[in-house]
Amino acid sequence: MRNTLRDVIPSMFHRRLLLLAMVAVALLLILGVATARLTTGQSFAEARSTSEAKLASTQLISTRRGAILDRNGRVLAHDEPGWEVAVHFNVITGEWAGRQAIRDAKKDRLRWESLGDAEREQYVGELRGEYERQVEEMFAILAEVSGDGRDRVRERRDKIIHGVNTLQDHLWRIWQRQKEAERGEPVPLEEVSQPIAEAFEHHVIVSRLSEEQRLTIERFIAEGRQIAERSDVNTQRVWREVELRRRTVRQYPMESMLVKLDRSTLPSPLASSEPIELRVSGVGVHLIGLMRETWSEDVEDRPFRDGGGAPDLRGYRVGDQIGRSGIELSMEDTLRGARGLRRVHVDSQDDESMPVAGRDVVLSIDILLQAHIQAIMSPELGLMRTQPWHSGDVPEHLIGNPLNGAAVVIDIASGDILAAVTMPAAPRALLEDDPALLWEDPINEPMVNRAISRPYPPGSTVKPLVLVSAITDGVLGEHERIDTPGYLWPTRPMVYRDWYWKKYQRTRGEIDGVAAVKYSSNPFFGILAQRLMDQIAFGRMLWWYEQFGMGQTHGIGLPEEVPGAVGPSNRDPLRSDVEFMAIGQGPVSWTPLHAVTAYARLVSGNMAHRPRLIVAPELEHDRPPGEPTALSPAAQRMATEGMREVANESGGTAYMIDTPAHGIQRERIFNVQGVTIMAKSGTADPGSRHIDLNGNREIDPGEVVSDPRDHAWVVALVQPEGAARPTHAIAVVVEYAGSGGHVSGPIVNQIVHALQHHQYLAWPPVR
Amino acid sequence: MPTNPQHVLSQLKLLARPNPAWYALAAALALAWLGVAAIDTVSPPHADIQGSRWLIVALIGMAAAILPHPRWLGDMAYPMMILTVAVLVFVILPFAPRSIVPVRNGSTAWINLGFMMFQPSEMAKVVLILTIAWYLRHRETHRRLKGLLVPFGIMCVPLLLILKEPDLGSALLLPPALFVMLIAAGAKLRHLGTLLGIALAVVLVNAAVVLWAPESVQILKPHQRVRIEALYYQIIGDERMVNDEGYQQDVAMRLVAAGGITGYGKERAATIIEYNKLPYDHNDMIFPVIVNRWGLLGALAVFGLYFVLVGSILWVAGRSKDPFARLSCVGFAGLIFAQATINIAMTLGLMPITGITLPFISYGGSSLLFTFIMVGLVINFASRRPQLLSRPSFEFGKSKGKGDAVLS
Repeated sequence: MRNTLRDVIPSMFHRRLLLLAMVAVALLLILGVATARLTTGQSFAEARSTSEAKLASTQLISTRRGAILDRNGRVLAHDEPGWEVAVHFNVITGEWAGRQAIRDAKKDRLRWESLGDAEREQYVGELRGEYERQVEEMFAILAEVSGDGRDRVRERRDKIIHGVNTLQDHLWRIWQRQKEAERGEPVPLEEVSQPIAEAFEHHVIVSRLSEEQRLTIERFIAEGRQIAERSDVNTQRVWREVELRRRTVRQYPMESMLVKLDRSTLPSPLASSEPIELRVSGVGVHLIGLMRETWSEDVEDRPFRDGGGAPDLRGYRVGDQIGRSGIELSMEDTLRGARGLRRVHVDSQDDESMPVAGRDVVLSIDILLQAHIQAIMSPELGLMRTQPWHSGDVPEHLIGNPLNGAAVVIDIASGDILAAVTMPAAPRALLEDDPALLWEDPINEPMVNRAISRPYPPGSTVKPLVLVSAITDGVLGEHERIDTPGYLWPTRPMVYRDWYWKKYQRTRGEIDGVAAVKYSSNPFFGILAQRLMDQIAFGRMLWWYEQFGMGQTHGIGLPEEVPGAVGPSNRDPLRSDVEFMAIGQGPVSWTPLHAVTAYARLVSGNMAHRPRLIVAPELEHDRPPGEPTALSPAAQRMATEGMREVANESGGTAYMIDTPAHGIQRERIFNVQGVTIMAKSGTADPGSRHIDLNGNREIDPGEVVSDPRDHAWVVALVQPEGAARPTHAIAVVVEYAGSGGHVSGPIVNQIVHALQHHQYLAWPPVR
Repeated sequence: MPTNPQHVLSQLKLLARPNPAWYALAAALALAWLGVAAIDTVSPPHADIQGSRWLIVALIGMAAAILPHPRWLGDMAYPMMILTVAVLVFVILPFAPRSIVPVRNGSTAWINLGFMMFQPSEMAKVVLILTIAWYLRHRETHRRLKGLLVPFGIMCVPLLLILKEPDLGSALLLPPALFVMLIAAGAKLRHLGTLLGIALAVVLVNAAVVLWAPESVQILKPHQRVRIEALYYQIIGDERMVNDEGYQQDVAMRLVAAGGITGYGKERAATIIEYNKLPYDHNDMIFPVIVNRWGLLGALAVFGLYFVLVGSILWVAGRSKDPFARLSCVGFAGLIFAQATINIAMTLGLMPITGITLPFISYGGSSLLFTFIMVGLVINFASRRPQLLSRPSFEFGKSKGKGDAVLS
């Protein structure tokens, strides 16, 4: 073969050329086959499909979040179409101007290359001035058009820079720790100092723009971009870094209201014939809730695109708004809705799936009543400030101090929560401007919804429940009178004693259940607890408490609802525990919501009665109502009669206060005409108080303080004239305030006035 | 002197005689036209510049290369090599003025001539071939393994300097050009085979080290390693690097495949390429543009034109009696073919991506100028009458070639 080739082509050079030509042909064949394999068959089909798929893009169409309405259809929260302007982070920091200047300087390559470092710096500095002017002018225009003003825009810029830098620093340290853990040796911070995604994104500078403002800014952006593309000097180039985005804005139109209050029925020192107008803000914030931007966990829980890339139109993307608390959080799935999707293809017509708006949520509250009660509980009116009549020994320096507390009003028949106010309030404007003031206040804790989230010892407010339990169980006869001692435990006279004994060293003698409620006799209810334990079962009273809805949440649809406690959480109850629980002390606690629920059950006899906050859509309760328990009608009658006497008979614990209007003057706590008010006061020893000063959620030295004042309770039933039984239940608690009847009684009185003002107490009912 | 008017006139008359270099010129012009049309698909402004400026400059360069006598070119080969090395040293000098040697994409591979950015490595390719051809023209030393040291040594000087710029793509093309020249010059195939085997082993060991060895023993730079990793994962069908290091190759292969048999046509291909975001679509990645626009038929046309071009140059080499011209032509053919093959192979996923243009087709002044200078030199060599007393060259072994008779 070799020799034959030599014979045919005797020249070695030509044979070598032939060899090279053959190698070249072979390589071309390989390339040809590889190209043919790619351009035919399945490879071709897949590539064509993939490459043509790039011709299509998808655009998301935002949806409308459902509105939140009150019981009368007033809009409490809704989405309004709006616009916001976002600017690239580099422009916000000023880095953009420098980059543009360098870019321009390098355009004149020969000049740039001929310059030394100092000359280059000077040259860049000269060019930079123009871009810095553009940046400042652009921010000035945004400030002026949006009406935010330059200071506010400047603050926003500073806040964004600070936020991104803080986040960056935080992430770098996390990455540094991770690397150190991987390597087992120190890692310099520079090694992990990569800019984070936020440093490459646009950030919102002004928001909530009207259509007119939007059009103005859009014109600036369009003109700026046109000039920037046309001109060699690049004036207005900065507008390329500005984005106008459509974004619905969550609005809370009834969040702030002006409430006019009649002061003529207030305790004399606060009373006036002139009404007062109070601005209340943060109305219903704790119920309606807050929104926030999604966290990575939200996106991971329900991503907008699944693993295969298919969109889940109800899924979340970074930057989406999501409920943070209250109804906005608990009803997120109902309110959220689904995005629409528009598929834009270079070749074909757009394909669009319409967005699905979120469903509305209707609440049971009456936002005007809610605002009215918040105004009553505003420190400006005076009832929620420490007053001389609050207890017998109010230190002078405490007079006038604002107090914190909560009030809940329910309609007994339906269970509808008409109002649930917590003080201090949390105005949304403050939440936006300086959230730390609200979130980081360990003394007042304004973000805690005291109406449902903070369990308090109930004090004497549980006594009517104990009375009804004892009579229904037959351990106390309807007309039975008990010779009530001054204290319960003969060997320990200083521990479990009657307030009457404590004050006058005298006993009440033989009293029946009605009088026991009226006088709030501690030993009487201690004896009932002993009888229930001894004659029925040790845990019988705890069982009764649970029947009244204590120690459990009611599923009103707020994630912040707490169950309170019935019995110790970490051990079996002792006999003394149960005896104390009968007077609302010891291992028992509840919230104002529990209080109104228990009293509604007491009055209605319907032990399956539930409070309701969300009217529509109807909530499904995971716990079915318990076994119906029939209350003794006589017991109900005696309890309510006792409460009536508390509020309306001399000697009742919520009957009179001594006010220093013109010397000391005694005056009625309740002065509402046309209704009967039945009330039970409670003055609960709060025990020692933990103030989490450093916010670490642990009890540290110096954070436990003793406050001599008690939590002041009044739970009341209101019965309009003509009605067969009470129609509304009200619970008010004021923290570290003093005597229940004296502190909370006047507040309840004003709430009853408010109910009457809003026509809830007309009989027959008008609403 | 090559500029003697009488000499020029005589040379022009010789050019008029039919010879195989005409085919090479036709193929080169066709490839250049195809290049302008392909660039016009993705970037009309670049196509304008390529067609109205760089192609004119390249043709002028080609015309200039036609004139000098090969002997003069041979005499000038070593001085040109020294000059080229000096320029290559100049661009890597740390204190070279950046106004003249700018840093582009992290490389100091260009000299700013004011009217164009000149790439010395493009000149080095041509000068190296002329130098090696001049060196080997009458020698037999390269028939011994030891004798290969000098040509390899000559090659290593510009190669190392180009690597230092760094410009791996240009450096990669020098060994294949030398290799084919040595084959044509009669170097023993077993020697070359051994060297090729060693080179392949080095490549494979490097690839294995990149893929499976621990971090502490890695030799290559991170950006070189990731390209090898990207190719490996692409070959085994692992898509983990498709969106970063493997992105360019993935898009290139996708656009080649999507072209099908006949391609999309201009407008559609422009849209498809734009939306698929092919990087460097007007220079290094021009082959996928061609296949996307004209399909497999377009690719075959490119292959065919390269075959005609390379075949014609080899034909010129075969016809020539001048050993310097012979080896130069082989070197040019080898260089152009290697460059085209590597460029196309990387867009087909057969080789890792590196910065290599497609000769005559990709956008770029220096590249087009020196490839046409090579064509000009081939025309120059093809048009020369054989020396009356030329002796056979590169004929070793048992018999002397009849075709290389003294007075043929």
